[in-house]
Amino acid sequence: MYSARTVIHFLREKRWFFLTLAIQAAMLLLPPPEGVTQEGWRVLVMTVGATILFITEPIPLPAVALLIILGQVFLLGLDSSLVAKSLMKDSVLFIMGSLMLAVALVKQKLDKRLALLIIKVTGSSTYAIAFGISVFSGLLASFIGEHTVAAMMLPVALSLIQLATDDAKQQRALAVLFLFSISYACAMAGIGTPSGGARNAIMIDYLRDFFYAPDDPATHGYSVSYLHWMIYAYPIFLIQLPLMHLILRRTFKTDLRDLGPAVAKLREQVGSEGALTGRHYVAIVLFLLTLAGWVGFSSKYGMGTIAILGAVLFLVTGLVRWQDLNSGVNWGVVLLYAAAISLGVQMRDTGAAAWVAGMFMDGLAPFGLNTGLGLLAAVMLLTTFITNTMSNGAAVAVLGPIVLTIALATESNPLAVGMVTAISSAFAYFTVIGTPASTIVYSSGYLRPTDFMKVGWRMALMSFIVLLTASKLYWPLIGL
Amino acid sequence: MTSDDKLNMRILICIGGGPEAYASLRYAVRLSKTACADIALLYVRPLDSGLNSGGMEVRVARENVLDWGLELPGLRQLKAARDILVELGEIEPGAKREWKHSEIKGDPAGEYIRDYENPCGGIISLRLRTAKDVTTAVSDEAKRFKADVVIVGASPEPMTGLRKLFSRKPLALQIAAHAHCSVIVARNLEPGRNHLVCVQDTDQSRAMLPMVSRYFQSCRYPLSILSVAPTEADLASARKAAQEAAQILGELGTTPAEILVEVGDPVETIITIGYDFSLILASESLKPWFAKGFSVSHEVAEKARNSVMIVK
Repeated sequence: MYSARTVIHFLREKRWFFLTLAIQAAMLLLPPPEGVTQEGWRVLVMTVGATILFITEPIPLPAVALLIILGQVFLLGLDSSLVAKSLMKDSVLFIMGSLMLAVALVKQKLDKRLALLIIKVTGSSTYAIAFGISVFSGLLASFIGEHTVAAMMLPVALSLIQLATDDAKQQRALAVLFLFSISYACAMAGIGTPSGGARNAIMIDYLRDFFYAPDDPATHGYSVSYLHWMIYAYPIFLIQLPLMHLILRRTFKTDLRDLGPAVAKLREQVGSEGALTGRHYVAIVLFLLTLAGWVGFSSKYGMGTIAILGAVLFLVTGLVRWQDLNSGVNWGVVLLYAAAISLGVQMRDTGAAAWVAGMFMDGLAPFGLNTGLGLLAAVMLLTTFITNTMSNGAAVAVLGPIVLTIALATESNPLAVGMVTAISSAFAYFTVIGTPASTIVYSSGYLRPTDFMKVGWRMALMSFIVLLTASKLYWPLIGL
Repeated sequence: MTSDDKLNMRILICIGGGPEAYASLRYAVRLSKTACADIALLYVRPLDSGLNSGGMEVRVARENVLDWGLELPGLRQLKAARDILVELGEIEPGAKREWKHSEIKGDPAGEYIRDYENPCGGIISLRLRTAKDVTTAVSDEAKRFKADVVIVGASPEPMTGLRKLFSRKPLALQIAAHAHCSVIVARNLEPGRNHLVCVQDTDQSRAMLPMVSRYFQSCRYPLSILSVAPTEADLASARKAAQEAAQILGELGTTPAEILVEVGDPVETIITIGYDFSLILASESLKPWFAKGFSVSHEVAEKARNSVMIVK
């Protein structure tokens, strides 16, 4: 028998779920607004519900994904086989494969060698180490995914922090500098290449779905290749990296300017691990092969296929066990991304995305932000706001159909709008949950949520300026 | 049940909310010295969200951190608390214990317990837990540990104005509303001064007296009884409540040092008079959890500048 206390506790814990149901029920009882079909309205009701549940998490996230699937069958009346088919796209295969690769790479214990390499290059100056950490983190995260790098670099930074001093205050001063060097470098680097994060793969899929027609050569530019994405986005990351370091240096000052003794202890500790072994070389070669596959063959076979191939190679060579992949990957999140993308497609097909886009444009028009650079700035602000309330992948999945429809309606360049959305989804500098790297470094227990706010606005301002400048000056130069 | 069983207290102290919890350790040790209390130090870490970490479990990063020989968050705070207990002589300086892993919420890299024995034979345990909601986790752990008292630190400066309007209810007050046992909302909780028991002419107030007596036989601090009459007309009832409480406590073996009867706003009067005491004790309200904030005991716990125990 459940006691009244248990029931009250259950209701309290699930309050956001019940509130979401109530909001959805109220919306469904209302007639669809002018310009929206009945189906489009139902998709919007589902999107509103899913977004609230993404942010508040009253029920397990895989359950949100399953509700989206059920909603498509029962509310929209779609055939269940069609819904099932809409769930699996190349971007979902890519998310699955890259997460498996992330776990496989972390399990190789390459981080200790990486630590040695960083301190060998930077010496013992605190700020030089911080810059070195962000450069290494950024360069790696741009290719292998930010969660991989954050997980590998976290113990490197924590070791240096704990070896440097026993004073809690000084430890925290070092921690904010080093941990933000990892998380922000990973976040901004994640946009550098398509393999940097799920959001890029999702945007590539949306661009193809919305604009690409195999028999129309004029649309082939919307099938963005690995190399083209790098050409558009990598310089933006490279410009931001040193600016980020300057901002962190200015925001989080530390009295410990030299970490000589800590570096010596770290060298002694991790040096005992010895040189790279054959196993490490095989892992590095496998990853480089995967990277080469992405650059050379993803246009033909899809990024997802290459990512899965890479993961399979790690399994076949015995470098990682399936048990490790199975427990290290959150499969519910993969399902969630699949459902969110599927819902995004329904937003487009039912005209719901066009209606929301129209509302958005009506709101922007009085400020002159419904075209050109103004529109890009507005999309950037909207994405930055959304990405700070939910994960950046989910933000792109939710916003993608809307912003691309806006681009279509305003006759703006959809590629530029799509790239701005994907890139600004990295500007999740204000909250812990914005990017995977931030969540991982926050898990160390050294950071406070207010630290993110303290430095976040500076980072966001810098990133806005760099991205707007790039979209105005750099992209036209390269024909985007 | 022997007299020793009756005295033995089980105290759960929440670590991690701020310096107030560390200060309350001295107080808990005082209880331990006379009643050989079992003390559990609890740190609750939020559960990691798979979506926030982009689909890779944060556990992978945590396992990597453990592989480097580094400590998980929470262990540092628990060890700091343990060091204070070593200083106070409750744990032998060289005592070494292994962390025992447990999986209450299914996080293999998150939940640990380490037990020590104190000089009188009580158990001191350091507990690391993961949970989505700290209030629920503390309430659950209090039940699992069969705690008599939960001590949770609160900010010495109560929130006021707009900040109070837009902020969540402080954790200490949430735990006070939800825990099954008595809760001390700790602010500078140091042993040394007398304790003040607030009583009313109600069944709920009378029902708390056996617990109060048991508590005072454990800590052996002098106690004062305070009964506040909202108006002059209520004075007789307030006097009756105070006298009755003194009699019941006396029969249970606890003799009060003084009896105070005042007229005025109960919350303000208790806070003003109670400021000179180490701890103010008041009985739990019968209101449901969402309305407890409007009861005298919870209002006192919210507004007082020193520690308040809500007795259940």
